[in-house]
Amino acid sequence: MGVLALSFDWQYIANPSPLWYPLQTLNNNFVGYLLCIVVFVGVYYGNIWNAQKFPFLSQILYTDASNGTSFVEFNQTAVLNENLEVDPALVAQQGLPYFTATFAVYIIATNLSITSTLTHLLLWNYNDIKTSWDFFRPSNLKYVFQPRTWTWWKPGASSKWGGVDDKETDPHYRLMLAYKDAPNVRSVTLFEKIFEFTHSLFSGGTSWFSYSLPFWDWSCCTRPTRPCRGLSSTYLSFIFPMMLIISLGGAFSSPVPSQASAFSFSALNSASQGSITICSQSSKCSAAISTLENPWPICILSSLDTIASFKDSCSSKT
Amino acid sequence: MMASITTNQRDILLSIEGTNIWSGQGVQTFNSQAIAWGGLAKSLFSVGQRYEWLTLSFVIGFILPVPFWIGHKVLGPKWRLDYWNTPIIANFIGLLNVGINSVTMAWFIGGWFSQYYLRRYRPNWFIKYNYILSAAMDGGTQVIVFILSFAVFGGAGKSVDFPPYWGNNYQSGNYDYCMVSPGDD
Repeated sequence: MGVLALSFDWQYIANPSPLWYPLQTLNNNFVGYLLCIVVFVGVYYGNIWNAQKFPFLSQILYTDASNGTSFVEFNQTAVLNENLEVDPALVAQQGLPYFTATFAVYIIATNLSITSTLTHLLLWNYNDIKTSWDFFRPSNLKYVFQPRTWTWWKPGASSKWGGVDDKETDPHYRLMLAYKDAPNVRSVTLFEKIFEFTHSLFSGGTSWFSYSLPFWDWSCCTRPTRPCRGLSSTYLSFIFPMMLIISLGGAFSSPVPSQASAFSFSALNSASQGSITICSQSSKCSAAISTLENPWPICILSSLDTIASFKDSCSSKT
Repeated sequence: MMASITTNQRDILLSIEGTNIWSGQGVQTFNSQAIAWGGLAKSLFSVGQRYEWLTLSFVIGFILPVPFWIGHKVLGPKWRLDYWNTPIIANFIGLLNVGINSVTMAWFIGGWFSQYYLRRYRPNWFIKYNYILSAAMDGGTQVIVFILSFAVFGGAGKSVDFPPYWGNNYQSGNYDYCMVSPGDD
């Protein structure tokens, strides 16, 4: 389990690179890692969820017929009818599948971290995230509904956020304001193209995808990629509820596995792109390269930490 | 590219353990989750069923950071309860399930060296070079991995074995000397 193991293979070490994780994040990670060892060994030798019948570490589904030395994989095509939907009669025939116990722990751990991220941010970082719903304050709604604020495309129209006078926002973002913003047309066109392309995948006739998602489901799960200027906190308040929906999204639709798969597939891609955007905004070039396969809550939380640490290093420099 | 990899390494990608180069873990995870959550959610994950705690953990997660926060407010800052970030800890409890685990210690050592030693005792070097170094090493690794995957490790069909030396347990089990899973041969 990696205890006392020595490896120099940067390909696997830097996934993501440890060099830009703040010390606090590293120490928290380490506590989690120690707990992980304890819990994994615990569930295996405690034989929870029939752990000893299945491999110690695996992501495949197994059946009851497995025992400690020969593993029988769950035959997933046997429970689907010709529309790729799960047939209850066939399930009764095949029996319900098992996860390996460590994979179940992995899912539990991920789920725990998803919802605890919400609470954690509300408790500890309330001041950082409250700007993202400032928009809904009555005073601001009044401001928005005044017609003179609608001319945002004209030069000289001032935005309440991210302007030169904005002292709250991330210092790097303020520095970037020296450059001219890319025209909105560009991101809108890009979004449009991607939207069309993916939509054609999902609704086009005979493909595998056409069994997958109802339209509203899809537009809901790709929302985090929407071109959204400015504050990373806006992204934050956007992504967290989305992730919850992503995880449950599959479950509340009808019993079609390909649907759930397509849902989490497209949703996870767009969510991770969203978090890359946050990181590249906040922690220079290294983050963008190394967050590609990062579990999202850590990535986002560490980017929060990184923002804080950069504030430190900037102020100590000047 | 994808087609060439999935054709040439099909058996390994479908296997339980994979090798040190190729593994189908990511897609296997997607697939298992899709079957379980999409197809059998009611009979596996509702309250009272086999994997009820997988769903209930969403609820538990909401209250996980609360004890730390209350403790911090009540006991005061000297207990440093604000240091512990429950989402990160919780997420890492599942860390070892996916991926190659022999690097975990190296990961922590690298991180501690940079963030503790360099940051505290060599701050100028840290500010100037730490993130550049990180990005440079990542970039270089990506390039060489891409080349190696196809030229040497068999992405395009023919794989070349690494020559034997004392460290790689040549052709007699896993490279890292870990036990081979009993059902996997």
